[in-house]
Amino acid sequence: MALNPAQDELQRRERVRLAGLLAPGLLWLILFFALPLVVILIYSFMTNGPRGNVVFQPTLANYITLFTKSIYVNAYLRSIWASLLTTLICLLLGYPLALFIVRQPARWRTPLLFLILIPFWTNFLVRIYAWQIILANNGLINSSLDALGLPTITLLNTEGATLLGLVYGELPFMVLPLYAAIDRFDFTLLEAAADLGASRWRAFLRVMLPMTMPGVAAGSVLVFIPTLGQFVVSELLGGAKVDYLGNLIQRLFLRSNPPDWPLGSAMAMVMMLVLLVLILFYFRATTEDDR
Amino acid sequence: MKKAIHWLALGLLLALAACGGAPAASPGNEYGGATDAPAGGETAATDGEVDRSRLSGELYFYNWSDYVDPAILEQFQEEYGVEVIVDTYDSNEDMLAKVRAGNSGYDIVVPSDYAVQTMAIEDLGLPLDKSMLTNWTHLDPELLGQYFDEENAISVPYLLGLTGIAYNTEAFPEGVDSWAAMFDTAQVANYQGKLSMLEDERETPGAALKYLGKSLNETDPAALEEAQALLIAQKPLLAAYNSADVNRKLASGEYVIAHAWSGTAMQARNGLGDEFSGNPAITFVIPKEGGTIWMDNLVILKDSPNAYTAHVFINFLLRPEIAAQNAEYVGYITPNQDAVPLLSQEVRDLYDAGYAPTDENIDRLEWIVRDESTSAFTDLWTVVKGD
Repeated sequence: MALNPAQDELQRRERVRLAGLLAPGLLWLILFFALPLVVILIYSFMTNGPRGNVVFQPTLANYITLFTKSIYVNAYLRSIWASLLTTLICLLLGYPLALFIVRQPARWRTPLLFLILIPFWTNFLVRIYAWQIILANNGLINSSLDALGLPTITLLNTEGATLLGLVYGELPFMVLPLYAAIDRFDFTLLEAAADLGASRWRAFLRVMLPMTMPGVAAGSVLVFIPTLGQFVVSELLGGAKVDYLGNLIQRLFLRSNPPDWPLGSAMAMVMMLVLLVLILFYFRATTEDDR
Repeated sequence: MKKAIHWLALGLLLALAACGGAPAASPGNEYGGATDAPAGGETAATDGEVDRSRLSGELYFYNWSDYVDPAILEQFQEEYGVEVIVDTYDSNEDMLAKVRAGNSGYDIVVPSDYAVQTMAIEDLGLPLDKSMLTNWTHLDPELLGQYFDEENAISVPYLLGLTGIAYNTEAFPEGVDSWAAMFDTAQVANYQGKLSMLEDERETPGAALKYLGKSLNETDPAALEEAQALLIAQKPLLAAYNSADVNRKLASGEYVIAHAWSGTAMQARNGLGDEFSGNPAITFVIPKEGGTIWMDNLVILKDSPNAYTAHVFINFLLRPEIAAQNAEYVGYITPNQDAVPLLSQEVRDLYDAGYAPTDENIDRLEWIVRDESTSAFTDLWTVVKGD
């Protein structure tokens, strides 16, 4: 079992080297990710004081409130539903788009991908305000309709506008991983499937879709997660008429009178748990695919 | 494949960079300013003795966004050589959280009425040295000694405002004098999608309570239930809950009527510098059922490292000509009674017309009070927003 001293020394050096490489990253994670998370976790078990001051009195009340009061349960259901819908629409729009880009001659692909990224050069908020100008009662669309003598329609401050803003914001996060997955796909497999008698649809469903599933899963997770915490879009395009999880958490921390950090923390923790479960699903799905 | 991953990574990095900004309030926010401010006063003779050797080089002023005329800060620097560094917040809760944590680095903050009370209870404010505030006498005595700081031990009135209804007289030639214009759904149906209520869990249920003939601070469950039902019935007819850019939307005609602060209404009427032009058809009223009065106050933090300089700065802000210039800029009401005659005729006329407390409306104004029972409003608002 004993190694000779030279080998021993080699192994020791290797370990030191490894530790040296990992230390900065680990330290970063602990300091800026794990610690704040622990603080939120602790807050979520505390009591809210009369003036919104956190009182260090352990309680389960916050979690009980979240799971028993229908206003909070509904906020979760509403947000999860909106995120699912956003993810689905992004997938339906993003897949054909990614496929289209992959099928272009190589010299066109880079500029096309570039076009997908260009919106990111402008702050998201500014782009959402631009949508306000487009959708408003006296905005771009309605004044055009008016000029053509057509009746105007209410677009801004509707749930449809919220959904539009969410899809608009998240679509690139769907297209990019899909592009990566489809780019990897060997299109001669489709010809093979056709030779063996599969219709185009069947070839897509049985061959292409399963093989690009990691991209679908990655894109869906990338869209779903930020959407669940979104609070800007519903405020600016939905007229702040409906609270999603993000709005509610923001309000409990900063707007409520008095604020309720413990309840807001509990809400954030439960949201993270929901996401964790989804990510575990994602990892299982993708690793099984690779097997 | 490698190339694709490379692209993906680049895309995500850019995306993260672009998404960094928090939303906070909108651009063109609720305060802001008129342009034609009178020239600042020419002397500092009224400020009593200032020991310049005790002044610090900098003063950290934590204030609401666009809630001070930058020109007066420059004047302060010219006179005393102290640079005032302004940092901004959007809610009292935001400010309180920072201050509570201690060592915020700020010297002066601007809590609204109930937040002064919180700061007093938690001993966050420095007792004022009134002997240094020689301009104190200019303040309207009616506005001193409010419930949140009866002796004005830690707070100095800064600016105040009212909450009522702002509307477009072209759409309402007969005028508006009741909250029914916001809550009677038969009336509201005529202009649905063109009205907004404040995005505020006290002001908005408060308006509904007023319409029901109750106090803004009523927490009786039956009354709250009624108010909640009113708000839920009103919601589908609203354009939005909006506390951010009501001024622009009224001026542009996107809204014809809105639950609004007096300063917002004044900006919608007079315009906001070169940001947007005003609409003279906009007017403001405290409905016959009543409205809100509120006041923001200057408080020196207990752990302020520059308390002496902070007193000098507050005394400077209390000079009538400075207070007038500032009020003219931000559009809210100065509590400095000697500043009022120095305001432009236009602004004074609006004050008299009900943009400020007057003999006509004063009895209908109520302060929003916070106590243990008022957390019921958080639940009410969550129900309304969740419906």
